[in-house]
Amino acid sequence: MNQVFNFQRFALLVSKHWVDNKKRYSLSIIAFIGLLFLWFVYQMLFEEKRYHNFGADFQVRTYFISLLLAGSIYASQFFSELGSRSRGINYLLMPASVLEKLLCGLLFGIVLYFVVFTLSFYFVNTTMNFLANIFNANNFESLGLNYTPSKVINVFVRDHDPLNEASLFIRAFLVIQSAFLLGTVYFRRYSFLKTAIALVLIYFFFLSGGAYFSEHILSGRFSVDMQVYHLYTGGIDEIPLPPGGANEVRLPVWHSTMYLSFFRYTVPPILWCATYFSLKEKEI
Amino acid sequence: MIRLHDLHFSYKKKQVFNGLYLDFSPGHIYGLLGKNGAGKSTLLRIIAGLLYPQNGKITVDTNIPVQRLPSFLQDVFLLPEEFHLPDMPIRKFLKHHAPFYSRFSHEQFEKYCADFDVPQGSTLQGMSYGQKKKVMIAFALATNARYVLMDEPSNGLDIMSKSRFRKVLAEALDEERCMIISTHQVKDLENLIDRITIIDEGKILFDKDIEEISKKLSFHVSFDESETREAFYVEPSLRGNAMVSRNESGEESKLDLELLYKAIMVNGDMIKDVFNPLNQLHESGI
Repeated sequence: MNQVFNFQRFALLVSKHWVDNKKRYSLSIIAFIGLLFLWFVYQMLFEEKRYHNFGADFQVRTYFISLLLAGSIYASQFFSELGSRSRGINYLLMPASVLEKLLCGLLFGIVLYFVVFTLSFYFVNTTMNFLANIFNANNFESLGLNYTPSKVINVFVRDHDPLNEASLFIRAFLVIQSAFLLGTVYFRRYSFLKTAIALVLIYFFFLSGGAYFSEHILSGRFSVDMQVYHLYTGGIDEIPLPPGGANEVRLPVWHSTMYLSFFRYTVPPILWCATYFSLKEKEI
Repeated sequence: MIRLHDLHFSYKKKQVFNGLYLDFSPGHIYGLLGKNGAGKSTLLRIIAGLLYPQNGKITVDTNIPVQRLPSFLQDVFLLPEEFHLPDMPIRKFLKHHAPFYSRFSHEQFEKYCADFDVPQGSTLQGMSYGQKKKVMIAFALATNARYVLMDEPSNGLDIMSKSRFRKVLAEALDEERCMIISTHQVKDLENLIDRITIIDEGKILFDKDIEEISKKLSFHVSFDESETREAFYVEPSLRGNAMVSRNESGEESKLDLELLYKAIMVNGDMIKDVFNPLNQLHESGI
């Protein structure tokens, strides 16, 4: 018997998790769709710029903000059975490996959540765009104006997006979702609040670390690709000198590659490893 | 075999075990007795791999429980005092839980449920606590796990179910299997267990086979004052003084677990002396 991973056992675990939770999940999806409809209706009826309908910014913000908010709440519920002795014993003593239990958590907590959330969002978005176009076209027609119908946009691909915001949000989603999954294993009670507080503290730790760092080196700022450090002439509030020559410090390429890759790709796997060991060493 | 070697365990503020040595062998039903808070449930959870001992060693056959490997989890089934059952019909519960246990027997489960009078078409959430417990006992035994650990299994069972519980457990025992039952309702284990282990303040106060106890101790009722004076424990009743004394005649009496438990709690050292092989040699004049 493979003690680390067995596909049949993993499939059983996934099927068991679905059967145990399908009522809760179905109700949550219905509630989420209902709330999203309310938000779109509010936007359509009461926002000042309602004749612009659901613009690209509105759709992107609604998608990513609700993805992060709903995702963190959902992820903080995933291993919630570990907060109860009777349910936790049941869960920990289920004959499946820790890796299988973790993968089941990642499958439901990240992959399936993302797919179901996106489908729900587009269902509401498409329906509301369709309704808004009918509603506004009639209004414009009565005023004798031409109406440009609003479109359902692809929230992942946008024009004029040099920072590639969608990719930033997806990475942020992976980090936040993974952090809340870890929190629900690590904290026995109030895992959502405790994880949120921990994330805020970590954020401030890095922020204050950055401030400390900038105070102890020459005043300036990094370029977006982290390869060049532009120097300020004096205080941090002053305008930087023009780029080039003695006003900037050029760092080796590997420096930026390593630094950016770490934050782009390694934080979620590190959090998954931490979740694995927390689950492995969980005591009830 | 479950082997605990110099086991130390404590919660944040409370020391529970301080150097515990204990073995549990297949082919036996062990009764784990003790006061509330003595550490019975903690011991079962340590054996199941739910708690990490601070020191010492525990092995279940070749497994180390805290590793919680799938093969180990198939071999050890813990039925806790407070358990969770999902809201679904029994058949559905079986469909999604039984396949995790490779030796699970649906025939045995049906038989045990029939013995307990549990209707198989019922929904788990609609059942009383006692009915749910019977389903869990039937499930635990039908997994054919080699080690079945039960924490207060008779709590919530009615009088008839308690007697069926004893019958079902006795039938389910074989040479490969070991059952450890923790309880403070000692009467419920009568005629069932073949070894009694009493834990008090994190130590083994008493650990003997029922056969040996029956040979060495006598449980009877008497008005005789000299017998009363020499008894290890006496409890007055309308029929006379119920007592535990040294078995001088060699005739085996019916073991009264409750009386034995009280006798050990009150007069444990004197009773242990009866089982001390050196004392026996001395008494026989060798």
